[in-house]
Amino acid sequence: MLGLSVAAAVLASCTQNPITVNLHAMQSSGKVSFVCRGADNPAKGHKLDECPDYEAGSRHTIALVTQTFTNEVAVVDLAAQQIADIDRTTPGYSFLRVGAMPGSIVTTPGGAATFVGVTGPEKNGIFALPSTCIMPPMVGEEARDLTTWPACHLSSEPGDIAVVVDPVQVNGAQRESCLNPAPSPPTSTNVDCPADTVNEAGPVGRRKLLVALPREHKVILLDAQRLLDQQAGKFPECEPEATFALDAEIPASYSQILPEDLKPTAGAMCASPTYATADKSELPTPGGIAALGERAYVADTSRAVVHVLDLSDPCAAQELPPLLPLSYEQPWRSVKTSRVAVSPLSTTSKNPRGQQFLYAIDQDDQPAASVMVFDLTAVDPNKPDTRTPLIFEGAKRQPYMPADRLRFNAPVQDVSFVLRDFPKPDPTTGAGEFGLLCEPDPSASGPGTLYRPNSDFSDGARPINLRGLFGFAMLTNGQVAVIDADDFDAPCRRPVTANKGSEEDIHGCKGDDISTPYVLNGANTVTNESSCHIVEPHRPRSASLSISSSTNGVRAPSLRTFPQFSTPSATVPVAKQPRMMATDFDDPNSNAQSATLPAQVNVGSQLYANCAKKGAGQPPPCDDESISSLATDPGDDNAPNSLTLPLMEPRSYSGDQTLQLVYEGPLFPARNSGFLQVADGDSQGILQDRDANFCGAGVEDSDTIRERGVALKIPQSSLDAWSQAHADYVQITGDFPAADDQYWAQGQGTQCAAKINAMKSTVPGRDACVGKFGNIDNPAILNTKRNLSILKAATGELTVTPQGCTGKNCIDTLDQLDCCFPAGTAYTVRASNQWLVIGGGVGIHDIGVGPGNRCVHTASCDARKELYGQRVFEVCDPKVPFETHTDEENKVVVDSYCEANNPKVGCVAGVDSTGKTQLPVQPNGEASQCIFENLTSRFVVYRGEQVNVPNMAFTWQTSGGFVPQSISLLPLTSAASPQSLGYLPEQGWLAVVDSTVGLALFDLNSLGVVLPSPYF
Amino acid sequence: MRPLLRLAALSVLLLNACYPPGDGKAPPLDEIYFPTGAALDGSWEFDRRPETTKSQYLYIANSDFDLQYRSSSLISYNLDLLSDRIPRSCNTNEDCNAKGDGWVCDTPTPNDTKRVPTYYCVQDVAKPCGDSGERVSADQVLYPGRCNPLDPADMRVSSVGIGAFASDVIWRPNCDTTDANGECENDPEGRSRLFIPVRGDSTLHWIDVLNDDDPKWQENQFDCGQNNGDEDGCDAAHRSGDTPDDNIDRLEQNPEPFGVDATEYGEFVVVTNQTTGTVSLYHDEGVKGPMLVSIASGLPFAPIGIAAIPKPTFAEPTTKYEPGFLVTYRNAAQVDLLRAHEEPPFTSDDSARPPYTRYTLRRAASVPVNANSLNFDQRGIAIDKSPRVADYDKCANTAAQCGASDECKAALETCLRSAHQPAVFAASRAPASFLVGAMTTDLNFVSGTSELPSFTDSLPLSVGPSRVVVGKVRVPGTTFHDGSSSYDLASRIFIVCFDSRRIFVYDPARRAIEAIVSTGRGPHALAVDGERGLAYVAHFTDSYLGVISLDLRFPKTYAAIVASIGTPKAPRSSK
Repeated sequence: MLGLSVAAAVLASCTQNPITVNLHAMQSSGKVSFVCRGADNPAKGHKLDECPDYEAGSRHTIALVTQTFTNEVAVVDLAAQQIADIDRTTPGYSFLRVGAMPGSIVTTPGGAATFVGVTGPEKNGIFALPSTCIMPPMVGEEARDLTTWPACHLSSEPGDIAVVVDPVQVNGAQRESCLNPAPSPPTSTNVDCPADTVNEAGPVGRRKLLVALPREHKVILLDAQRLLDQQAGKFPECEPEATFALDAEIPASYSQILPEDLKPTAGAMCASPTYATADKSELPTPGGIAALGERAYVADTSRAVVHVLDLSDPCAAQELPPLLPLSYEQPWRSVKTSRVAVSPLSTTSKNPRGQQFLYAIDQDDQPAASVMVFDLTAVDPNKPDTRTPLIFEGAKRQPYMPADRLRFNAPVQDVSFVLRDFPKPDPTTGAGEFGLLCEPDPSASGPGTLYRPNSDFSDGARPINLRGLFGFAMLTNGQVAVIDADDFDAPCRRPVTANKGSEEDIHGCKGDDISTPYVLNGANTVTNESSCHIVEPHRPRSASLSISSSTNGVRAPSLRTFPQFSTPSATVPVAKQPRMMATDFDDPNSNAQSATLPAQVNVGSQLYANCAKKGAGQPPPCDDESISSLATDPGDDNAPNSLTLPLMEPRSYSGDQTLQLVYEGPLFPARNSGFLQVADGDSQGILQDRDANFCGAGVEDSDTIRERGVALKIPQSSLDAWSQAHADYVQITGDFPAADDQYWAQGQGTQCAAKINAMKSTVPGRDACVGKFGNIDNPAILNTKRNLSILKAATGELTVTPQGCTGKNCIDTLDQLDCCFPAGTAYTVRASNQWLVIGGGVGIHDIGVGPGNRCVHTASCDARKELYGQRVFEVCDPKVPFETHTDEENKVVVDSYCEANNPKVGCVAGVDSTGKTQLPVQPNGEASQCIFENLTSRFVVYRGEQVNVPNMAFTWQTSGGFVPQSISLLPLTSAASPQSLGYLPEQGWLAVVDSTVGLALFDLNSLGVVLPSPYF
Repeated sequence: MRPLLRLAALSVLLLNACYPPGDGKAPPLDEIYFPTGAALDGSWEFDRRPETTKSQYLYIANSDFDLQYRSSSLISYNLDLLSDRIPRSCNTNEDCNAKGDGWVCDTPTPNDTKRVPTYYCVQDVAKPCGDSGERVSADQVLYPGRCNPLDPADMRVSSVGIGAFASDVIWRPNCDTTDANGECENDPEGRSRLFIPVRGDSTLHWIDVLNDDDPKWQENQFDCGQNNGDEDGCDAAHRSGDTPDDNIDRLEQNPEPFGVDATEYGEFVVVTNQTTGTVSLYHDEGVKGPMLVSIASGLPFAPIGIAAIPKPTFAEPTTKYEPGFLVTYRNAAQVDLLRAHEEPPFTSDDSARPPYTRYTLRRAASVPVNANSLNFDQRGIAIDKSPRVADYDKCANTAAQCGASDECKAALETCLRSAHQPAVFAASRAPASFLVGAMTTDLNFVSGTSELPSFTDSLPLSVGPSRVVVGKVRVPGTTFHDGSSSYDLASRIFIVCFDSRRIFVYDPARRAIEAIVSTGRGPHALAVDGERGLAYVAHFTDSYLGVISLDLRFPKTYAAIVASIGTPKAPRSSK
């Protein structure tokens, strides 16, 4: 009885806590190739598009996955949905064993055989796996082992392999060999595992293998059938039929072609970038190969070129002028490539000639390997610049993406293209046409209109509808990014508002064929997303519709709430608070100086706009009676603070963000690696912090900020004083060394008290320092004696002097600071007499390193940074009295006065002829130079009646930023380590091979995983 | 009990143990016992003899992990003697003719296809392992290598007792003389020093390595105050960090010192403390030894790996550079840059009071590790400066031809700044992967780099990667000759996977894993003697050394364990 009870208890405990152990058959999967294998006798390979045959079910798609740790090729029967155990006589799974560590794997177009490159000391070579023998042996068949496969030995490690076709000759005959005369056939043919690539289906011609030999700096050509015909189980030398040295002519100089919006401002004295040209002293080292049609593209891991081989006659392949990788950000860098992918020709109804692109991975790009894009249809062999990576328009509004690259938050491991469409049948003809663009014009008719979105976005143009040419970039962190290359639905992904003008409107739209909204019978013909740039060629695809509405959620750039004001000191009455207010937009397509477009912003899903009038006949969005009003007048105490969010480019926004506008805000979090160096008797010191990268943080000294003063129209007479008042300052935020620190007993700290007050030299040094410079009990309000004005800002050091000091006082205070704050005290740098936008991306400013390592503005020569900005200067009202206080002599002192010659003032509001202040500030009006607009916010700050104090702040949150569409392995494993991509066009599945997950398949119709994958 | 469980049990025992100095059984100083550290002396003009550029000694730090003894030991071996005893690899008989001793290459025997040849140079093909004999085949699974272990007694040079639970050992030449720019020069006396973090007493041990010419060398190569009544154990004066009174700032080493690295001449030594968020900085005070001078705190929990950043070359030699170190963490997906700062000494008016120098070790910058899906649990980190050194050499040659004009100086500065940056490698456990990158190019910095790594590739590994070691292997070439054929030296990176008993060999030129070494249980420390085409892997679990052939001229034995030193001893609990 007791035993039964115990047994029951044990069983119960077992059933309560079941443990699922996933046993892995695969180990360290690398690359995949697919074979369509039929039920013939013997079962041979077929063209991939002959699988699956849903009717008979006799042909199976087989995935062959390299296993790099076990020197095997795993076999996955996708039709049977199981991993094949090749040798059932041994425990566990066994696969197709090859001679060494497998690398590249390719299958012939007709599926007759698969070739695997293997590497290992004395084992470098290629193994041929006839499709007839890739499954477990049938009764009577020999076991599969190393001796099953024909193979040949290579003189060094094979890199990538591609199958190319030697087309039939003019006389209609196939060449048996590139060599003339053809060598005698191998002595033995493989009768147990036959494979006939000569007569297989697919493009007519003899199959050749283009094999990279990186260590020998060349590519060789092997005959696939000759390798298959070798005696199985032997490892003779491979017999190259041709060798290509990859040594094409490299132009003496070349550069990238700049789009219009990145060309330097007219008149700016800008040095043209000096691009590094490919160094021919570096031997070419072939990397990945992408072959399509009569071209093969070969990445180079040591020379800055992508080789182009003309394969119209593969036996005598000619090397064409190479593609020329470059970097717009780092023109001096020699850009090497690891893998390449070439797209199919994408032809559409409006571009029948089609487009073709090459993606190449820039393997050394920092901080993460990135992807360059080459437009193959634009290549002109005689114009080297056409062979450089594309630089995309609109880069100045895409701060998170380089102008000429696709860079993600993790290195790109592999790239691939997918061209797909699911044509809708024409109602009149019943036929569907591949490559029809979505037609948004309400007056148009025809099959292109069938692709318009429906009202609930369950059909037609939308993010999940992958119709067109798309790139896929697999990242090392387990994400696969989807890239818009040529989206057939792009014309219908836009706002309903039309703009026939040549300048982009607030939605980034221009040059439309129509002027009326994209509406037909009350229904939108387009998605009515926030921007005309939601689909951009060679940019990450948006995961959602950029729309904020009650039905779609908040997916367009929107505020969560209006900005909230806070102050670190005593509460400021609302009437005396500074105001942050939205302001109208300039109308770019109107010649009238006063022409404006109403300010508008989404708060959640509710649209607010500053409409003078509402209702029918008003321009959108004021045609909607129900729209909420957006206040812009700072005099309206009941109106909330506000701002607008520019909608031209959703990629300006990186997801949900919390932003702050802080008076005299810090440029970076406190650092404790700065060291003040002060020479005896000097009134200036050097704050050295090699790693601070002050220019990268946007520090501006008086020389640098002077340019802003000029832009703000500060009177010349007060420009020097204004610049000094607005130069950034160092604030020491750290505490003094602890009281028991030996610094006070044995170091320089023994002298601090005497330096502060010679009469009280016996006071403990730390106490004297606290008395002079205050403690850090309230970090938001620190003693201003801790402040040091920045006289010169350079990349690793700041020249400083105590803020507000004069004469000998400067020397003494600096000496005391040096004594009280020894090495390692925390400090930061703050803006002075201005507001600073904090959050939403580091480095959104245009400060860079100039001559002498000084921090200078760079936007005039780097158009990408034209819209970068974080410093906000107030507008003050000259009619408003400011706070006063009484000084020690009982005189009334005005704490601030609103006049143009006040060095602390940014802009003075205009006053009309009646003496009334012209507020709010209007575009092109008085004080409009103080309208702040950067990539993600636009507003004006109006000074309050009370003097500002540092750390006063407006805080707001945005949501609906750009979220890129991606496929993630993370639901399958938290420890993803993806290795390569593959594509099964018939099924519409993207294959991701992961070292730990194995083979995962994703359905491109839903981007969901295809069960029961992953196979591991 | 499974090996991992055994180790876990031992760990529990360790954590609950209290090591009482002076109690218990004295350690056998000549025995390899749970080795945790392996180091070679440097490839430099040693012993005032320019021709001695090869490493001469292998240093093994033992840990006494199972508390069988009251302390542990440090042993040195003569590399020449070791390599003489290790089977020479070969392809043909010609490869074995160099010594003229009539040895032949053990290659396949045509009439005995079942015999597995060793491809060793042998005196008698029938006895490829000579008198030591062949290891039983079944044992070769647990202890790879064809031959029975070598007795290291003849090859041992010296040994000395150290505290229990050493976690690593590094070797540095002394910095006794400096040039006009204050840079260390090779010590003409040829002295050097070993630094060993010891977890048992939370100290940094330091041991002077005597010059061969030193009369005391005959007695013991090491000088650490031994012969003090503690049976050849180092004295307390050679342990730093445990006594606040020893250093001017009254600092105390935090528990569990783990990783260690140092500047080129050991002026600054840094130690990670794996159970706190701190890293300790020691300043080597010459005769007084290293002194704990600063502790960087506020770091993420469990710093593990640490690598000293090679000092860049500046066009202006007097450009001040503060030593930097890269740190990895078990619990944080980031790499931190720590920088050591030395204030000018403060001399007070009181002549009786010694000058006071304030040192600080601070986190100067940080970079997230994004290359993996999880990213946390980084372990070893290593820096390969050879790409930059090669470019520096080119710059120096160009500058020498250019002259001393301002234009030439500017050209030199540009050249130095645009040199390839050192490669940076790290081992990550989640997922098990090898991160490949380089120090980030940034022309905002005088040296052309922020010195923070950018990882641009991630390669899968088997479970349990830990240490990363930069070394060289012999490849067929023309530069050197060893009697059989010519060879060059080429860089390789070695990643030790403790849990899965593998060492991955990464070829940075080909950007691929070149080979996988199958080791015995618990591979941990690794020392690569590229000049001799060998590497020594310290097997922690079974307490012996494995010798790996790293000579690509002989592919049959490349990346294989060709010998073992010391008899493997399974942990007591598994006996």
